[in-house]
Amino acid sequence: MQSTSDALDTLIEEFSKLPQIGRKTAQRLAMYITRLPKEEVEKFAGALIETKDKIRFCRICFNITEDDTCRICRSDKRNRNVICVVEEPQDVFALEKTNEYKGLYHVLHGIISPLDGIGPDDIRIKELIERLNENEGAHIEELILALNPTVEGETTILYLSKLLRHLDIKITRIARGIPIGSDIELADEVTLARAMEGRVTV
Amino acid sequence: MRNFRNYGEEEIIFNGKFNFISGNNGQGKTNILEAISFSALGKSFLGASETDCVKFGKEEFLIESVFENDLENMDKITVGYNSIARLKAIYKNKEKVSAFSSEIFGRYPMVILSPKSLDITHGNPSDRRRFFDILISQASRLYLDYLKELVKILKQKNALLKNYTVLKKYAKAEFTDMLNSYNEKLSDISSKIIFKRINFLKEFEKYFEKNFSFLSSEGHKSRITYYSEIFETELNGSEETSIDDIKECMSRVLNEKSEEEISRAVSLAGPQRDDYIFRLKKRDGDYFDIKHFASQGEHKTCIVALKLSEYDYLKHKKSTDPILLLDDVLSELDESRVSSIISHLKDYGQIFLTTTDKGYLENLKVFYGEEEISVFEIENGTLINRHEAHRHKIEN
Ligand SMILES: [Zn+2]
Repeated sequence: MQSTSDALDTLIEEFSKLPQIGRKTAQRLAMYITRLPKEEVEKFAGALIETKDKIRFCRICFNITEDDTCRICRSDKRNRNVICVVEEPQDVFALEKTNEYKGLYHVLHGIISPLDGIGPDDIRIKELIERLNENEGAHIEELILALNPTVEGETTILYLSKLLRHLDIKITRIARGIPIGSDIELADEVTLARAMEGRVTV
Repeated sequence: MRNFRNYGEEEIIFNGKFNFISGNNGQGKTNILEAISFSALGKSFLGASETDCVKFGKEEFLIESVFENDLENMDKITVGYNSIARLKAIYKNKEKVSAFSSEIFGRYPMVILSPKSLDITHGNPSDRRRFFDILISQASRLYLDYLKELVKILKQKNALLKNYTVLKKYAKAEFTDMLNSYNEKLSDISSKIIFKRINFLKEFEKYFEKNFSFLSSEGHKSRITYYSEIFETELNGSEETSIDDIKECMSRVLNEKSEEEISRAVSLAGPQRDDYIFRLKKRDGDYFDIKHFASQGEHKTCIVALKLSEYDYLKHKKSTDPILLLDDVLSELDESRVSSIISHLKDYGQIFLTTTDKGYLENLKVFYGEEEISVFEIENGTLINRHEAHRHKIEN
């Protein structure tokens, strides 16, 4: 299109399909690739293919894995009475980094959004229900809904709590408020006011 | 400013008190006010798209303005728009900010009176909601956040209803749980919005009643009440209502309307349908609805009282004197009403007035000293005549 090489144009085109990558960034990335040594490019291309070939979703929690089940589901160090429900696999990475949570996960792979044509059947809700019903011998005591505090996240939380109300499981949601480590005086007015709304008894 | 509307390149030093901008129709008087509104609000006060504001044959416009407060602190605001990239950028003191950041929005409060303002009492409920929503948002960022959330919830709920009723998606039980989830969110956000609006009226009515009495020569009284389908009666701010009470009413109405909402596939309840009612009381009568029963003159008095109250309210909330834009008001409001506004506000902030009537300048000399008025005459996007009281150099 813009350059004098069809191959380069194709590469730019492919880069610009990636999330958050605009035309300009795609051009910069493509030009960077042209300057790399051949073996570096082969490593990069190989990693793309290998990821696609090996990655699949855990049969139990739908987290990313290379096997039938993921490392977290297989571990005997985890508390099998608690499940934390998240939107995407990257939320599992984030929570694991804290080293605080010892329970299991369930990845929904999306969130209910009628506007985008995503209903309960389009994400892994059915699988969550099945899991709670059979629960592999262990009894699930608590379900933590760690969804984003957006309109879609909040309504998915409400929907799940309605759907699961007949089960004898404690359902909780993570609090929203001021990020730890940031000073109250730096938090903007809206975040602060919202944190006040979500306050809890101590 | 550069390439804004019919202007090429223009630099104007305004008077801190009064700016008198005259010229024939279509020459570009209002464009100057529009440029000022871009600097203070991040957008056109006429609701025009940025693309429409780019000079014909050009690709981008640029507006640079310097605001100076009582302490002589200066803020330089730059607004640029490129119509090819469709990109708007706003800088405050050379640092990039977003249009709705608290660095801009509500920081330089602005009150605008134009012939269009008459729509507030004459027009649809949406005209009134828009006026009050902008006013409350300038004082409360949280309220603006609530409004944005309401819009998102309604969009999702309407999509849900359409998917179910029109596109025949979802099983019945699944749909009912989803609808109830959205209605729960809707009751929650609606109660917060309505609570804010009623509390706002409680505070605002002090200013409004005082200003209306001041303007009305016949001793009439006026008040504003809040109408929502979810209550049995209109509220005037004197009732004690809690967020929980409102939420309960809202949930009840959503339940009642549910069947109709599903069959018509559209949301039928919520603060997006509410209204503010302007009421007028003549000596010994009852309060009646201005929209249906008032004379032209009474409408105009009401609008002027409303704008003066908007000014007083913002002045109190923001602890700063708002900027007042009077766009072509002499054509709709008579001179005595305009003069009463000016006499009321002359001791406070900066005023900009556009008019085709050069003669009105004489009337202003009662209120202002010679140094306090700057006069600009516009012809075809050019200042053909300027009388700036004093030009001081702006360093930046
Ligand atoms: Zn797993």
